[in-house]
Amino acid sequence: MDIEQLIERLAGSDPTPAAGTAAATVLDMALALSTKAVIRTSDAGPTGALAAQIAALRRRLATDGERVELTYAAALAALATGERVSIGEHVGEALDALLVLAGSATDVAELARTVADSCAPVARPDAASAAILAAAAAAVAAHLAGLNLLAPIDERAARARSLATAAQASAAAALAP
Amino acid sequence: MLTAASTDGQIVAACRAGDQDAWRALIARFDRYILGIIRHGYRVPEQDAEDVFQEIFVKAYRRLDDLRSDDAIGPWLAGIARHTCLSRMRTRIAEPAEHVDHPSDADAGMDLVERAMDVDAALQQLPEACREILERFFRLEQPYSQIAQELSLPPGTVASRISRCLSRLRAELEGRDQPVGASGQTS
Repeated sequence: MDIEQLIERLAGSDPTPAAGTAAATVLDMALALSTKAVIRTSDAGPTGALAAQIAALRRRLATDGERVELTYAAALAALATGERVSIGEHVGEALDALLVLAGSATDVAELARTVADSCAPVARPDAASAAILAAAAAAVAAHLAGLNLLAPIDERAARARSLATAAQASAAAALAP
Repeated sequence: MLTAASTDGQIVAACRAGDQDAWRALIARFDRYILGIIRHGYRVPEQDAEDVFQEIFVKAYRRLDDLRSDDAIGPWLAGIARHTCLSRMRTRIAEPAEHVDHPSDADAGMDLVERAMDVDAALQQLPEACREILERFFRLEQPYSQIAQELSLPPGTVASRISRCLSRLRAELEGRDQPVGASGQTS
């Protein structure tokens, strides 16, 4: 799906794709900006080696957004049936997917901060912006986790919040002079 | 009596003493780690993963006397896992041609295996700390926070450490790729 199609569908009336996909897409953009900062630094050493980590995070991220949407849709379907066991299972899976997304976002923010610390000055604004975008995605994941039915009794929601806080700290560090 | 708080060394010592419960405890402690290497590190197909997992622990059982330090059981098991996965990849690629859609697929597959073996050999030349952090990030796909916590590293230093270790790995691999001249020196 290209970006135009995605935006069309995000603006549509279907329950999905929604915020999870939007957050994952923002993370992809953050990784792209981090890549740009690495490339513009033209360093074959440690900064250049950050590109391998960007690629690895991108591979992990490939399924995160879709997983959030699929588990959310499954949880909605389970809620419609009213079957307690099924609801518990699917709502739990939805929470798990959000925690994974929050974790990915936190890693992207931290990696972007590391790029910002070591890249060429001309590329630093892109890397710092990537960290901000990633922190926003982590906040989205934590927000959605907080709305999950299990949130009041499940420590995963608290962990998602904690991850979002860590991502925010990375973004703040990336902005520091 | 082994508990969740028992150290790796205590579990291995009990294994050496022939305690079957200790072997169960050892597998329980390392199963996710080893399965992570099998599935994520070497992309072993799901239908083969269970066999490879069992093969690794059978080898560990037979070769436990080769382990020099009981506390080093994790890296030792990971080494057995890497070799077993590579061996499985070689076997699959060497299967009869009728299982291969195009001859070039087999060549490409063998190139990949050879490259993986080169990387594995280069990894062995790196300091243990580098091997560990690269394995955790790239093969086990652990997040930075988990790596920092489990290796007692300051938060915010993991990505840059991985980068430095990758640079060392690249230098090691480039050294291996250098042609050897008549004097025996690499050019």
